[in-house]
Order: sequence, then structure tokens, then C-alpha cells
Amino acid sequence: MKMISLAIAAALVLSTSVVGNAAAQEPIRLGVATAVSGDAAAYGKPLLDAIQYMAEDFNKSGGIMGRQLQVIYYDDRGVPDQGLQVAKKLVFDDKVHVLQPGSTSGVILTAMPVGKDGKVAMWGYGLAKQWLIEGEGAIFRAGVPEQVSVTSLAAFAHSQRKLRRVGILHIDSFPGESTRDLFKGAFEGRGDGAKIAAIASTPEGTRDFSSQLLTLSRAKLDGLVIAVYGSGFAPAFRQARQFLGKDVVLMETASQMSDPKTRAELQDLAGGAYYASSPMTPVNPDPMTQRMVNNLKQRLGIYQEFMGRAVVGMMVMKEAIERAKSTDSIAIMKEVHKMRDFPTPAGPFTFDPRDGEGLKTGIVVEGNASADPTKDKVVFTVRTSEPIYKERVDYTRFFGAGYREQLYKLHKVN
Amino acid sequence: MSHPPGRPNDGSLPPGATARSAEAAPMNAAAAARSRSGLGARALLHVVIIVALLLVPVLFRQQEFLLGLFVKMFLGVTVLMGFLIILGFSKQFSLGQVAIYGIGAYIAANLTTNLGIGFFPALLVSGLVAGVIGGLIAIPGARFVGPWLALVTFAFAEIVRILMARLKPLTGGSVGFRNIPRPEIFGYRFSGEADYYFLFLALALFAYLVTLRFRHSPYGRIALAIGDNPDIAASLGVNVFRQRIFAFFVGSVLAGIAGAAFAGYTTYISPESFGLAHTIQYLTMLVVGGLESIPGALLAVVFFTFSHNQLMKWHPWDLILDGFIILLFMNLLPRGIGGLITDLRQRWALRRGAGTKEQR
Amino acid sequence: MELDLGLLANQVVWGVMVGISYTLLAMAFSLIFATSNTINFAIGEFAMLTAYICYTALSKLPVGFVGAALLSMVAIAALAMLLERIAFRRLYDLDPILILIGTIGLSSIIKNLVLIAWGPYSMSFPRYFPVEPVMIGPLLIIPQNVVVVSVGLAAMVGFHLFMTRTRLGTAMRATAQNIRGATLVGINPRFCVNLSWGLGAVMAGIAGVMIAFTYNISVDMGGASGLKGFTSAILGGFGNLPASMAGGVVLGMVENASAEIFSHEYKDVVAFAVIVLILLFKPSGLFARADGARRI
Repeated sequence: MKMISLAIAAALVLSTSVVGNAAAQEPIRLGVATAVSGDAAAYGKPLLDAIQYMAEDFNKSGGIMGRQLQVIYYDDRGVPDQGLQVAKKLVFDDKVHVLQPGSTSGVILTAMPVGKDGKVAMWGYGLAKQWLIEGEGAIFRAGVPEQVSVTSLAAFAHSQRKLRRVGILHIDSFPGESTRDLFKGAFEGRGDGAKIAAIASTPEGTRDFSSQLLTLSRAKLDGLVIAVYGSGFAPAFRQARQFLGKDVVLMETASQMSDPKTRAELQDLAGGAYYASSPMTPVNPDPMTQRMVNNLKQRLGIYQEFMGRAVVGMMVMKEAIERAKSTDSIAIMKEVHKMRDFPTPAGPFTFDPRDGEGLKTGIVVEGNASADPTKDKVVFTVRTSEPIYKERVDYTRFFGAGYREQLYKLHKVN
Repeated sequence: MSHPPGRPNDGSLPPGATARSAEAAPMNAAAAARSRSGLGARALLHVVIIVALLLVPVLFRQQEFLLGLFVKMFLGVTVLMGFLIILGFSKQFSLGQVAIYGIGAYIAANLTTNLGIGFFPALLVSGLVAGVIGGLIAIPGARFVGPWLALVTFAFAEIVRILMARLKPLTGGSVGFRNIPRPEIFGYRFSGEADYYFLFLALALFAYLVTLRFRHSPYGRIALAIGDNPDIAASLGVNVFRQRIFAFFVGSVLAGIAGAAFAGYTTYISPESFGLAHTIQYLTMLVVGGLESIPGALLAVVFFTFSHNQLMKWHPWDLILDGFIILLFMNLLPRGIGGLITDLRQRWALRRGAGTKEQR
Repeated sequence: MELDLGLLANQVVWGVMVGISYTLLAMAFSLIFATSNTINFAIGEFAMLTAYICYTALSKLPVGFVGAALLSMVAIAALAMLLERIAFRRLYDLDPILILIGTIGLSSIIKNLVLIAWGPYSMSFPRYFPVEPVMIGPLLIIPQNVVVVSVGLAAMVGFHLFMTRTRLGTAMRATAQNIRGATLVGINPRFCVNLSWGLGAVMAGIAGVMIAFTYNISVDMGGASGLKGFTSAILGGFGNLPASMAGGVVLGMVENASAEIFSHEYKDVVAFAVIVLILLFKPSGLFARADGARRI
């Protein structure tokens, strides 16, 4: 019996060391850190599927610069510590050319320095601003920043729906707090007695919002922003309806309501609720958007808004590599910085060297009382070409002094 | 071995305990015999391994990732040694070691980042504070046995993790503590994996030596006796209470030092790193290595570090495999690889006619 | 610090409701511990798996909800009994730490297999009962939850009756109290232990379905609810079924009341702190005898 166990143990040791994965030299390697398990997997998995779909698409039509695109990914569980390890493996072991350092802003913030150290080009689809600014030009965002989407929702709530006493329910991690601060600033900043009357936070990963909602139900709110990301969103929304009743307007800022899986949980409760979204939402009538939505639906069986971010990121990346005619990260990022009006399903990607953003259109959508998000209605659109934060990206470390001035001149801004 | 479990009413004695304590006496004599005769061979083995480990960063200087794996391995050894002393030797069901590890990390992070204290002094402080905390836990813990201590320490670990996320000024909140300065020694600031390699190798060696020394000292033997059967130990005049606290203290110091080093290595810590997954990982290694075996633990760390790296591609199957390995070992090899080594050693000694009759 | 009494009352009511699901889990823990001296950390995962199986049965098979639920209970009971037989039976003579670790390993296996089989998305049951709140005085009542709680209570009563009024239940109680005595009178303890795993799994399964209605079905629900169940069992009295039942309700109330009195943010911390305090001063549990005798 003991010998058998020893044999099994030895076999395990041998098999795991023999099984390796040598990355071939020829293909272009995209490394992806994404949440396939854990709370953030509701984002991470669809994003990964969309990336792989795009990669297959590229490869079928000849690849990038004639080379095949290989996607290497590991699970970061949505946890920054794990993301750091995964990024190290991708950059230093698998030697990827382009890195996607995490599926949530928290992870991106932590894992991105690995890409900077390893001098690889990066792109991310989290919506917070910190990692973009700290990226120093080495990373671009494939999505609409939450500055734009949250402020457009606040504007809508204030000016169209005339809400004045809004509550915020947010998770206590970085994305939740970021949304809370943004919404509060944007909403109260519009004046006319607008107030954030109550704020409640919940630990990440929780599904029980009863005590927070019971308290919020006493605050006489006319609206509630639900900044709960991941699998906690649907229970939070459902419980909000349970505890606050029909008269409180429910809002959310990350188009989770446009996700068919989430809607399946919410069922008909989504009627009369509003969500901020990027243009990559299925209700956007733009033909390029619709084509992308239908393709993804056909291939993957479902379309979710954040898949659109992956599509945009892949398209911009491919374009930049082909314009640079190289896999050198500095060359790739320089091409991204020069992009103007590059057509994507999210509208034209025009890099703004001041804030580092390429897409600055936000839309607000009204949910309908069914589980089908394609029947929702766009009720508000905001587009800006002004810089959306006071911070400015500093390109000196990777691109040299004077580079910023060059870019400003190229884009005709100051 | 499938007769129904005999349980005393208070659940404090592990079943079969009386039988095992009877075995303890001849086993210790055998251990003494082994140590005398094998001393030279084992010392040589140690030297060879240490020299090999010292050569690795020289030979593989360019392979950052491989060196990083070794760093991970050394960290694992340091942490596991702490587990071994507390859970393995003295059988105190502490599921809260990860919290002590995390506290060590946050203390070091605060000291180095906010107060500008150097890495090495911070390491010492973290270790000591962690040890004290461990000792404090052991005080009420010594009164509980089995499930109660497990729950109390688990609750403690959860409380600590929640506090890590809430006490923003001290811990950076749920975002975590960023930009922790890298260690600096005599003006040289660490950079690249090779520097960390030597640091973590030193820590692992330290942990190993401490544990080895503990194991073969009266403290260690008493800890094992307490783990086996606290009542019999008490009746033999052992101050069970004090010894448990001491074991907890030593194991926690190791955890705290490991945590501080972890902070200096990743330069970023957040509450998520200090959750149940960490505990499960080390419990698995403990089972595979054997609850009472130091060499078993070392082998387990090596195996798991490298296999997990390879198996990362198939996540979450790697975690499923961990679970299966636990169940497999418990059913077939409950004393782990360490137990296997002990058995093999005894058979080898028997064949060589060492003159001591061991019972199996 | 001013207290909104109406709000406090609501929190307490909600706590009792939530407590019923904790109770079922606590009962599962205590039952298995009483008969086999094993702390089964995988109870939470049994609860989760049952909810997933029920969901799939509901959507793929031509059965109503009741049929799907019964099917999933049978499935989880069978699985638990099989696991006890092949993976855990040999372990009872080992160090309790090892068995504990073994069940932790089992919970990890189940959780990750569910993740692979059903994916990371969370799901929920169809809405069979209204969820709009109804105000009764200062109390906010949600009809769906009333139904869920009633089912839970019925299950608790049912198990209690099984334990006290049937021969099988009596045999199990005898096994828990005194194994040698039980063997002497002709009871097969091995079978009783195996059955306790099956019954415990069903208790957990019912809790799982309850939790799925109140919140949703997701891969992580096992860990959190398992911990609450374990805590409730210890709070009430580990290895003592009636005491554990009370423990669950107490934990629910204390949790939510403290969330209101102290702070929402620290709700979990307070709950844990209370546990630690209880354990310091009355380690055998609030409602059990001081010697920790088993009673199911």
C-alpha cells in the first residue's frame, strides 16, 4: 500500500514537471490576466472569450503583420496579489509582447508595474483613472472611463429625472469607492439642493445587503445608485427593490444591467431603472456596433457590454502593431498615441494626450421590464473632447522629454 | 481500520491516542540511535543542498522567473515551518496563521513606508509582534481543544482580514498598501530576483534551523507529547499551558517574519492575499509532508511550488488536484511523506541491525 | 447614539429569518459531529451544490419546483453518503486535525468542480412569490421570505420528529450518545454514521435552496454560509441538535442587531467577536450542557 502511494506521488511529480508549455518564437503573444474564478469572473470570463474570438478572427485573415496571434492567459481571480503573480509569469516566463494586466481596475493597478518593468505594451478595460495616469503612456484604455459614464448618469438623474435625494450603495473596494466619490461630486456639483442623502458600503463578495438597505429605506430617498460590481450586483438590485419599493429610482454605472445573464436574475425588475454605458451596448443603433454585437452573439451565444471593450482593445492593438510594423512596445504605444478617428464599434478612437483617453462618449439607458436588454432605450448621450481629469499623463520615462509637447501639437491641444 | 470511532464525551482526546503514546517511548529511543549513527551522512546532505542552492542564482542569473519560483519556495518553507510547529507538533488547530502572517506584512509595510524604518529592523519587529500575538491567542486557546480552537482562530483570521480592509489609514483599505519600499542593506537597494533569492534563502534556512532545533530540544519533544495526549503529558508534570503558548509563539514569529519579507518582496499587499486560500494551500502541504516531519514538509513545499506553477494553466483544476491529493494522502499515507521516510529509515536501520528493536 | 427602534425591530426580524437557514446548516454540522466526531467543513458546499442541482433540474427536466427540489435532495444525500463511505470512513482513527483538513479539501474540490461545470455566473430561481414589501406596522415583510422561512421551520420540525419518533432516528441518537452501548443493542453504528452524512447533506441542501431564494445561487455561497452554520452550531452547542437550532436564530438576530447598533461596516466583525466572547466564557455553547454531551 505504501509503495503504491509512493509510486503515485512520484508519478504526480514527474507528470507535472514534464508537462510544460514552450512558447514558440514566431507568433505574437498577447498575455491576459483575467478572472476566470471568483467574484469578478462574471467579467473576466466573457472578456476572455471575446479576446479569443477576436484572435481567431485575426488569425483567419492572415494574422497581424502576417504573424499569428497567440493568446496566453491565467486566472487572477480578480485578486490584485494573484494578478501580480500572473503578470510576472506572462511577462518574464511566457515573454508576451502585449499584456492585458487584469480584468478589474484594482488588479490592473497592481499588475501594471510589471509590464512597465518588462517594457511591454499594455491595454486594460477597467474604468478607473488611476492606472491610466500611472501608466505613463505605456497602457491604453479600451473603454469609456467611468468619469464619463458616471457623470453622464449624474447629469441625467439631476436634469432629466429631477432627483434630489439620492443614496449610494457601494462595495468597499476600490472600484466601488471610486464610483461613489465620482457620483457624489458630479451630482452635488449640479446644485439646486441636490444631495447624496445616505451612503452605505458593503464588504466585497457579500450577497446580503439587508442591513444596509433597511437603513437606506429610512432615508427618504428618491433614487439609489448601486455601485456593486460582480456577482453581488443582481442580489443587491433585487433586494433594493424589496426594501425600497417601486418609488425609488434605481441606477447603476457599469452597464451590468445590459448583461443578459444578470438580467436573467433580475427578470422583470429592471423596468424603470437606468444604467450608464459605453457605446458598446446592444441598444446602440450604430451599424458598426450592431455588427459587432451580432457577430459575438453568433459566435459566443451571448453579447455583454464589456465584451465590446475587449473588441475595441484588440482592434486598436492590431492597428497599432501594424502601423508600427514591429512588436517593440514603445513603437506600438507611439502609434496608439497618434491615433485619430480610428473607427471602432464604440465610435472613433481619438487619443487625447492630456488624459490618455481614446473614447469619451457616455450614454444612459433606461431598462425595460423584461429580461431582454435589447429592448432597452437610450435616453441620454454625452460626448466630450475636453480632458476629463485634472491630472496629466507624464510620458517622460518611456518616451523622453519633449514627447508630450509633440503629441499635443499633433492633436492640436494644449 | 473501519470500526466505528470511539469517542469520549468531551472530544478532547484524539482517538487511538493511548495506543500512540505507548509507541512513543521506543520510537524516541530509535530516534536517538538514528541520530548518532546518521549524523555524518545527514550533515553532508545538508551541505550539498545548501551549496547547490547557493549556486542556482549564479548559474541561472538571467532567468528571473525561475529565481522568482525559488523565492516563492523559500517563503513557503518559512511559513510552513511555523504551521508545522503549531499544528503539526503541538496539534493546536490554529486556522488563524494567515492572519498573523498578514499582520506581520502590514506592520512591516507601515514601518518601512510610513516611518522610513529599514527593512531588516522592520522584519525583526514584525516577527516579535507576531510572536506576541500568537502567544496571546494561545492563552485562551490552550483551554480549548479541537473544533473550538479551529473556530476561534478562524474567526480571528476573518476579523483581521475585515479590519485590514476597513482601517484605511493603517492598511490602505481594500485597495491595499502600495509602493512598499524594497529592502536596502548597507546602502544597496534590492532589485531583481537574485537579491531576493538570497534573502529568502536565508530566511528559509533560519526557519528550518529554528524548527529543527525546536524539534530536537526538550521543548519539541514535550510539544509532541502534548500533541499526542495532553492529559498524559500533564500527568507527567508538563506545564501544558505554558508549552502550548511557547510553541504558538515560535511558530508565529516565523509567520510574522515571512509576512514582513513578503511585503518587501511584492511591494504591494492587500487583504485578499491573506484569506482562506492561503490556509488551504499550507494545510495541503502539511498533510502531504506529514504532520510531524520536517523533511516531509520541505519536500511538500518543493513539490507544490513547482507543480502549481506548471498547473496554473489548468486553473481551477490545480485546486481540485490539491483537494484530491489531500484525500488520497489521508486515506493511503496519513503520516505523509515524512511518515514514509520514517518507515523507510526504520526498515533500513533494521536491516543494518542497529540493535534497537522498533515496533511498527 | 440614537437608536431607531423600528429599524432595529426590522433588523431583528430579518435576522431571525436568515437565522433559520443558519440553523439548518448548524444542525447538519452537529449531526455529523455527534455521530462521527468529525467537523465537516464541506457542509456549506453541499448546500451550494444542492441549489445548483435544483436549478438545473428545474430548467432541464419536466418537473416542477417541488420535484426538482426533491431530486436535488436525493442527489446530495446519495453523494454525501458515497463520499463518507469511500473517502472518510478510514479516517476516524486519525488525528482530528487531519479529518478537518480532509473536509476542507473536499469543499475545495466541490466548489471548483461546480465552477467548471456551471461557470462563474450567478443564477437565481424564478420568482414564485411576490417580493414587494408589505408593511405591517413598522415591520417590513417580504412575502417570499415568509414562505421560505415556513419551509425551513417545517424542515426543522420534521427532522426533530424523525430523530425522536422513528426507529432509525432513535438508533442514530443512540449512536451519538454511546457507540459501544449502541452496538451492544444491535445497532449498526457504521450505517448510522453514513446515514448522518446523508441526513446532514439534506439539511444543508434545504438551507442551500432557502439561501438561493433569499439571495442567489453562486459559487461562493458555500463558504460564507458554511461558516455561519458552523458558528451557529458552536454558539448553540456543538453536537447538540436542539441547541444548535437555537444557535442559528441567535446568531442571525445578534448579527443584524449589532449591525444596527454598532455599524454595518463592522457587522461581520461584531458577529465574530461575539462568537469569540461566548467561546471564552461558555465554550460548550449557550444552550448545551457544560460537559458538551452529544444530543441529537
